[in-house]
Amino acid sequence: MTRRKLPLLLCIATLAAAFAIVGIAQTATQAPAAFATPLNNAGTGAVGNGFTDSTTFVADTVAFSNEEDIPQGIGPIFNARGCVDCHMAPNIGGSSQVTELRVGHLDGAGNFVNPNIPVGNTGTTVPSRSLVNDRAICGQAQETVPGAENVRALRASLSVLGDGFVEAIDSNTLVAIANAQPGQSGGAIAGQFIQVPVAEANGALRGGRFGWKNQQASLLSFSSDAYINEMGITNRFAPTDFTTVCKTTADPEDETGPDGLNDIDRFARFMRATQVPPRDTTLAATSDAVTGNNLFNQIGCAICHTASITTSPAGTVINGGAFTVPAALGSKIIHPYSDFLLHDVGTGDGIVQNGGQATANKLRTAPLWGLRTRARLMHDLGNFTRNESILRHAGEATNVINNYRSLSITQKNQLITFLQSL
Amino acid sequence: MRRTVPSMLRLSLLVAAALSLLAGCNSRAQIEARMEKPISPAPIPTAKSASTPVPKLPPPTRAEVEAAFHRVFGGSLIASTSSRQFFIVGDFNGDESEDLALIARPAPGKLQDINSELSNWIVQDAEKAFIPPPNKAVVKPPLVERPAIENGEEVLAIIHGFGPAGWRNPEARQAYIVKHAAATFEGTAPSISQKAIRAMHLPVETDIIKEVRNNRKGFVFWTGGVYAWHPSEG
Repeated sequence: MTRRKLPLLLCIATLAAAFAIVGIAQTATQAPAAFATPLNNAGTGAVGNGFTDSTTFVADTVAFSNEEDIPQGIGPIFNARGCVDCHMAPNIGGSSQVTELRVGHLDGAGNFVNPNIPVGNTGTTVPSRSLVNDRAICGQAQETVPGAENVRALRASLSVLGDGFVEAIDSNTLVAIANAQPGQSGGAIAGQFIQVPVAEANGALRGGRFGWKNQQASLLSFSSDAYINEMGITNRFAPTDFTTVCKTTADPEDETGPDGLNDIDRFARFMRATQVPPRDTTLAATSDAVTGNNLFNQIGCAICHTASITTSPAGTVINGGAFTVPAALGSKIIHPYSDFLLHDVGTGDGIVQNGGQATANKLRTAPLWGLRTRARLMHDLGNFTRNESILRHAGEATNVINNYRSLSITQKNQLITFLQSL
Repeated sequence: MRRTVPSMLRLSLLVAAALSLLAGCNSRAQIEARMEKPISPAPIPTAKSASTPVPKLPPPTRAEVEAAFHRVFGGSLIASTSSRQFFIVGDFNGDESEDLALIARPAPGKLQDINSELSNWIVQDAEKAFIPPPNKAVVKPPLVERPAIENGEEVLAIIHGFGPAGWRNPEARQAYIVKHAAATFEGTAPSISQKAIRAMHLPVETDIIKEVRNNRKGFVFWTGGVYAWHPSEG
């Protein structure tokens, strides 16, 4: 190499390096995927996605796994003593094998009305709340369903693994998916995007994406909601219990720790730091799974069970200004197999939460990532085989499911092999 | 003019500095506060003005029933077109679209197709349907063994309607083959007319199929996910 060419090469190399830097800043990368929160109350073996350091993630995993008692604020009415009770399969933060009860009734015009649920024989009620808790810290506080509340729904609790990435999806991305669906389906499919209040942003609205009715948009709001509704622990966004029967603790029961954080902050941080459910890469690489994946797309399943979504770039301010997407969650490609929109596929439960009466029979498209870890399927866990779960879809999904019915047995097996790889 | 080596070096350093600045600015622009673009809240209809009635359709003809039956079940089932009424219509799953129920039995040599795990219909047993206990909030549904239809067994074949045309709609192909539910039909009735169903707090109001099976009066009803059989009151 001559001395004359050296600076020229240096210049080219510098250019290449600079473009590489720019490229890295703009290119989305795959979100880290693993079942890496083993059922272990000490948090041993927990590996996060980089949102927090390892020590913090292990500590947050422990917080998520802790069981609370009456002195810590459990109840008076509740369903579980710890987050992990409903989010544990196959790992801490996963899904559940139990369902919960929501009830209500219809008025003369067919509108869903939230119930007033009697609290024991005290003559008091929990007003206007569709969730009914199964447990109480004393007999007098136990809720019982009045006969008049004749709309009843059972819903499984959902996996929260990878939900930090879901939170980091721009609401406008969900709107774009919804807007594309009618054109992709001859007008048959139209996901409904709803906006819900973000508790930590003084009720600012954001696109809902968590819960069967998309009733939450942020993981901190979700943590607060679950803490009060499922465990009966009051917190800074939900400072009052639904009943005070047998209550002995002062509000808010979610006390601030030495680090300045509450439990709900740790729960949200845990969820934000979890990795997404991984594919079974061995099965996914088989020709049956690959063909099944193509069939899944061809017959229209992927219109709602969206295969890939890219999260907002790092630095994007979301949740009404309350959270900034960090590098660990920003510009990440995830494969949730959900559009996080509400649809009527004939399985709806009749319950209205945030989306208005039109959403009574709509449910959020169930994310299919991690599907292979679930033995019971659909929102009510009422189906046990992949085929029956598919056949249960109707309504907006009718044409897609008819396409499925037209597949040969071999093709159905291939499609189910693909599902089993998720 | 021929450039000297030092001048080339200076140029390359200048380019490098400019590009570094560009890259830095780009990253900074990304990291700097970039608010998620607000979306105008869509008006949420808060109340229905009136409930949507199930479209009143003309009475079914036998030809229409047989056409729908063949469309959905092909040659796997044979309709039991004996002297008694072998079909009945109503909104059995409460989706405001008319459904069709028929009494049928397996066609010769088709048992394997009917009972296939990948069949185009859901095979279930009305006597083993899971009905959640009415006062239990956290429920673990039992695992129910998938039943098998047997040779010569009479079953209730139900085709769910789709849209205003109901079961006549060519797209209406969601179907159930229900064991222990084929009987002599005695008409339909609103599900809320039955005290037993009101006590179950099921998610939707439907039409039930009243029938007599093995000399017992009862009814077939939709639980929200499957069909179940219950003896009549009194």
